[in-house]
Amino acid sequence: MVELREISKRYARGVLHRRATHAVRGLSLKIRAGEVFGLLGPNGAGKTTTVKMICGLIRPTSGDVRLGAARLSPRQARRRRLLGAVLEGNRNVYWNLTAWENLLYYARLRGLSRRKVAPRGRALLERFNLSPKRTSLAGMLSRGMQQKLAVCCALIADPSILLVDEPTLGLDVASARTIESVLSGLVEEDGRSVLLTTHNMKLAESLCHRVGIIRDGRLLRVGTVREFRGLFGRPLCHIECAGALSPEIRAGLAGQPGTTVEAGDDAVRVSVDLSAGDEATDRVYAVLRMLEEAGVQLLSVRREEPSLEDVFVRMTGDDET
Amino acid sequence: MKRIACLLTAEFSHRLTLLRRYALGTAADVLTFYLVFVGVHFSIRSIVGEVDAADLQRLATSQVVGFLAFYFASMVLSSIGNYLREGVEEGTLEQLFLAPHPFLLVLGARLLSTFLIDVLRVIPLFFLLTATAGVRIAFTPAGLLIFLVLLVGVYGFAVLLGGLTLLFKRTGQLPFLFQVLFLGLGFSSFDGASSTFRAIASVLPFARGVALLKSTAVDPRPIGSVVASAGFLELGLNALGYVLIGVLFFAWSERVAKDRGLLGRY
Repeated sequence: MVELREISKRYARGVLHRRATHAVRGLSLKIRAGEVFGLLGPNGAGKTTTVKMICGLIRPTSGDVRLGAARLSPRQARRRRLLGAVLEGNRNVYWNLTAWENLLYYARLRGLSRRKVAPRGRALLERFNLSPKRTSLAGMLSRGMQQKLAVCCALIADPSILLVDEPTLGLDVASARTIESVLSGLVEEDGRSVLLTTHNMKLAESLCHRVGIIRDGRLLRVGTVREFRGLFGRPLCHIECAGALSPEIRAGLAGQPGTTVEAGDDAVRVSVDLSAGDEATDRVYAVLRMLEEAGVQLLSVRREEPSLEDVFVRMTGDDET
Repeated sequence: MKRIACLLTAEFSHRLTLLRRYALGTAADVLTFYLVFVGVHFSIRSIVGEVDAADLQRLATSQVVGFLAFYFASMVLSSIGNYLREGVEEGTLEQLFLAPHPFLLVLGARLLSTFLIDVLRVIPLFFLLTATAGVRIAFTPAGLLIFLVLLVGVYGFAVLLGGLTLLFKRTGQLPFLFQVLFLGLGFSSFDGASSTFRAIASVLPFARGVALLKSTAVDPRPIGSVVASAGFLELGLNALGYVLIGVLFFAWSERVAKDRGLLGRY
């Protein structure tokens, strides 16, 4: 549905264009129909440049962008109204028009008549809980509502590809949650292809079928969230025990495969590796039985998954991964 | 065609909504233009001194027609730069580039809508000007034709300035500079100016048109005679040249802006 082949963007700098900044370097990517793909990367990694090259707002220095089943260029895709975008840091909507006027304007701009747009516009406002704000000026809406309105405007022509660049940037927690639920609704109900760029790892974890991590214009890796989590960590079961453990118990626990013991000031943490599936569950029960039989007081038992954020920090940090 | 009709409707509705919503601002704009006219008109009358009624009538007619042409030219010059600059500031410009039309078409629709809105805005100004100057202006086919060709040239020039705005963003002083020049041309001619200055003014999009327009308003002529005149041919070539240069320069600027990633940056 979206295919990037070896796209690069080099910005010439200086009067004689002798210096250059490489924003994107040889990035290849395929986003399938109905897939939500998250492009994650630190500031200046090349996410927005990539999105704008897909939109045709920035011309790639080299490489090719193909969109839709018919593999059209960005310009052709725009002509067929395949593409909708909510761009980063932009208001995307006219503040001096009402929510409804914005929808009408963007619909007409994309070639839809009022007769066609009225039911669709009403449905979108209803779906995103903006109906009560239909006649409010966009400039008077909260940031979260403005962002929802921008998504509505991007969807008004029913594009099959939606690009959403940093949708929660600068939003408060409540507004970010609203946007997350809006995007989640799009994913579940519409089945369109969505490319999402974000710093918000929780948003990416909850929405994306696959993610790609980009740094310095290079796509480092693409995979599912689960695959990424498995790269640098394993799921663990942490059992917190009060007081110290006797040497016999420690020796017994050390004999359990995939089990480690860490002593703290007031408590001891026993960790069991859960990556072995059913066998790991049996290990946890065995450890718990041993502790119970030894009369050890348990403070807590919890499961810990390596987060996408941990992986992101490892992959995009200063250390080479 | 249907898509283009939708595009025109979008732009016209947008402009009309803003005209209604900010009616006080519109009224203030009209009043400002009126006060400028009053100031310059009566200054010139006081300088000219006592002249016979027929000459005064010719002078006033020429000034009203010149000022109306200046009003439209001024609106056209400022509108494209404002449109692009505000679009970048507001973050809506990139959305317009995402429309299923070439951007020049979107820009054309916006300009046409702005022109139609300007026609609505000029009605009260027209009555104020004619009442103040004590003249009656007849809309002759020849006058309207000259006015339209003049505007075509100004649009071409404004599109050229729009290309510069796309690349350099802060170009607000440039239209202002030409607006001041056009105001001078609207009220008087540069016949007494140096030959260099006259040569420069004559290649600008406004000078030939406004001179022809004023002379036709003062001494009405049939449209056939105007079309056959050398002055009209020069005006037509001038307008065509500006449109071609403007469109080509804008297309080049758009390409450079996309190469340098300037569309979303202020």
